Parts: sequence; C-alpha cells; structure tokens
Amino acid sequence: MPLIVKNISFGYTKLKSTLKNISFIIERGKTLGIIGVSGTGKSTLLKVIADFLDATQKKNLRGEISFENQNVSSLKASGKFSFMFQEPTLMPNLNVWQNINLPFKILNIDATTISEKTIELVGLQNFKETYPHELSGGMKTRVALARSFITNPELLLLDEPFSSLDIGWKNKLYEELIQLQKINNATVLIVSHDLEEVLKIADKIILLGYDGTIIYQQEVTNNSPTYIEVHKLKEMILENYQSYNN
Amino acid sequence: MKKAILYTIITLLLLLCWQFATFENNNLKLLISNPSQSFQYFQSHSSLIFESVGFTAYESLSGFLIAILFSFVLVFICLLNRKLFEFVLPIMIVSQVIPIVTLAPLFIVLLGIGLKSKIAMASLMCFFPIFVNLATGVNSIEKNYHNLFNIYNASPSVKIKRLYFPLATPYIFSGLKVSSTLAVVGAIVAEFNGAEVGLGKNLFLAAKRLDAELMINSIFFGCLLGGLFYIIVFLIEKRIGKWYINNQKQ
Repeated sequence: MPLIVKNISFGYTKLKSTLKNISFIIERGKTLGIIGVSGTGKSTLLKVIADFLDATQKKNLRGEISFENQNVSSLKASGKFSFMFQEPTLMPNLNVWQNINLPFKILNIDATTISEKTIELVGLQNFKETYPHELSGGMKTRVALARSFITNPELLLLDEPFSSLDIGWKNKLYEELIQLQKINNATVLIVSHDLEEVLKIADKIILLGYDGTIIYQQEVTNNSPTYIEVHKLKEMILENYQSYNN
Repeated sequence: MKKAILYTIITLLLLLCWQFATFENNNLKLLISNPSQSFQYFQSHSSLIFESVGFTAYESLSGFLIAILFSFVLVFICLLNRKLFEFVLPIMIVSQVIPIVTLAPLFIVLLGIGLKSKIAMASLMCFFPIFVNLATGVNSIEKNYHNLFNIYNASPSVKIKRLYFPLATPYIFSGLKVSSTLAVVGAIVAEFNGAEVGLGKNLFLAAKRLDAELMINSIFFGCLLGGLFYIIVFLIEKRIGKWYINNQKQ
C-alpha cells in the first residue's frame, strides 16, 4: 500500500500558508525526492507528514495523510516509522551502540542481533563504545542513519541528511541507504537542495515552489541523470525563484 | 600537581603572615587570634567543636537532600503537564529575588529552636538554584530531541528518564554545586537566630564574648563543611557527567 498525501495545506500562522494543496502518492519501497529552494516548505512538509506539529499548529492543518491505510501516529508506536534529521541529533550522553539502540530502549524491545547487523552495515562495529563528540561528521551521520533503520521502518523521512558531508561520504551513504531500504522494503521521502543527490536515489521527484504548491512532479526512470535533465530542473527552480523575487 | 603545591605554599605563607602579624600586636591578637592559638583552642575544645560541626552538617545535609527531592518531584510533575511548568517557572525565577536569609527568624518562630527550623532554612536556600537550573536544563533541550522521542511514541516517563534528566545533567550539577555550599550557609544563618548547638550558635556567642579562637574554629569548620559538600557533588558529577566533561575538555 502506498503513502497517500491528499490536499495538504498548512501555515505556521493563519495568515500565511506554507503548503498549499499538496497531493502525491508514493508506492511502498519507493523513494520520493522533495526539492526546491530554501523557504518553499520542504522541511515543513516532512514535519507535517511526521506529525511533529504541536496542538496549536495542528489547527492550521488541512488534508489527509495515510500510509498502509493507517495514520502516521499509529505507525510510531510499532517503530515502523522513522525520521532522520538534518543534524544527526545523537544523544551526547550515549555511546554509538547505545545511540543506535535508543529506539529499542524507548519501545522496550530487546533486539541485539538486529543492532549488530545494522552497526556492521554502517561500518561502525569498532566504534561501539565511542561517544558522539569523538566522532567525525560522517560517522555521526552514519550513526543517525543506522538508528533510523534499526527498527526496520516501513516509512522513513530524511530531512537533508547528508547536507554537511563531502562527496566521498555522500556516495558511500547513498549506497548504505539504498541497501538498508532494500532490506526493509521501506518507503523513503528525502528532502534535499542537491538535485544530483535526489535524482540518484529517488524514484519520483516533486518540486515545491515559493507559493507552497507542487510546481513539478516526475517519475525518475534514470538514476544517472544527464546534464540536460539536471539543467532543465535547475532552470525551473531558478525561474520560480526569480518570479517570486520580482 | 604543580598547582596544588603552589596553592599549599600560598596558604602556608598567609598563615605565617597572620601568625607574625599578631605576634607583638595584642589588640589584633584579641580580635582575630592567630593560627597557633586557634589550634590549641581546637585541641582543648575538640568535643564541643565536633558536636557543633556534626549538628550543622546534619542540618545542611538534610536540607540539601530535601531540596533535591522537592525540586525533582516538582519538575517531574511539571513535565507531565507542560502548562503547569510554564506557570510555575516564572514564579520560581521571581522568588529568587527574595533575600531568603531574612526568613530565618520566621522559621524559628514557626518551627522552634530545634533542628526543624535549621533544616527548613537550609532546604529553602538550596531549593531555588536546584529547581531553576533543572528547569532551565529541561527547557534548553533542542526541539529535534523531543521529536526524536516522538518518533517512537515515547511515554512521559520514558522521556523523563531517557531525555530530560540525561540532557539536563550539566544544569542539574550546576545547581547542585551552588546549593551544596548554600545548604551550610542556610543552616548557619538559622543557627545565628537561635539554636542549642551548631557552628552558627558558636559564631554568635564568639562575637558576643569576643572569643576569637572559637570564631576562627567555627569559620574554619564552616568552610571545610561547605568545601566537603562541594567536593562530594563534584566527584559524583565527574562520575555521572563524563560525557560532557570530556566534551568540554576538547
């Protein structure tokens, strides 16, 4: 069953809408790339889907979101939902092993075998006892990625997860992400500024405009996009940016 | 190690200066005594001094522990209901402007001359720094950490155990360190206002009788007690707060 987002409209205040009539469907096991320049509501869209809004903000939310015919809140209790923040958001008081296992501690599940496999997958088996302040940026991101995947989520949202990394780490983590996604058959939503990054891993992309609507959506058939394809998208983004600023 | 040696030398030099300054000046000797006479006084009155130190230590420690218990319970209740937190926190911050020492006579009137009034004073002195620091620590936790726990539908008790208290640890210890010395101040101030035994009572009597040796001994043991409390908290922090102490070093 797919993730269905239907007619989502939302604003942090009643006067201004950040998102307007956002609708899309993404099939199970597929990846949706959400692109657009800063301030177009990409991260807000993820927050809305993740149900991170407080009670006051929820009053400004319209529309429906369902995954496998359930709402996201019910997915959370079973650990089938996960979110990776732009910053690794590691618990500074816990070492790598404890950070990766944190979801199990919260959910009160004992799953050492899964944790062992996941930590090996991100290549951090020799850093189990290391604390976050002793890790490099790339390692922190890998810990966060492993933590996001540890509960075998069916729905994973990534908010510019690799933005602070260099190209070498990015490529390595794309591979890890794709590998982990295949194992879990997870549906992934990734927000990014980096067009090449999104086109590499997404099965479908949506482009958000300054007015808070989807100005372009397209299935991605080729994960090695040509210069022309990337250039065409960049032109669209630039056009939207210029029309907004004029 | 070098620093420790330096501090010891400075202390010894100051003691020597004090000793020599009062060597031929009887007026000064009468007012502030000197290290050797104070030590002789301690040797001859050790049972009285130790009894006073014991009482003040008991009052301070009890007050300190009661303050920890009350502030943690109050923050715990507030965390279960965030609106209550928003209501209570400003009151607590404003309450800090009250000069708490002025309440000592009131406690004596309300709770009597015994231990209760001293413990109440010590705990009130400790309560605000612990509560305010703990509350500030909890409030300073980044939104993403809250969201991280919301991803897995964490219950309030799980959040308190695994999110609020661990991430507020640096603030908690900051409050505990301030309060550890305030507890002794609170107990001594309450003893000034009326007590059967204690360092505060000794100080009060010493000032009245111009008994410089008793005063110096009471001041010395008061400092020692405050320092001891502080060191105990510091050692506990070193054990529990390894993660942020190491982080700060880097």
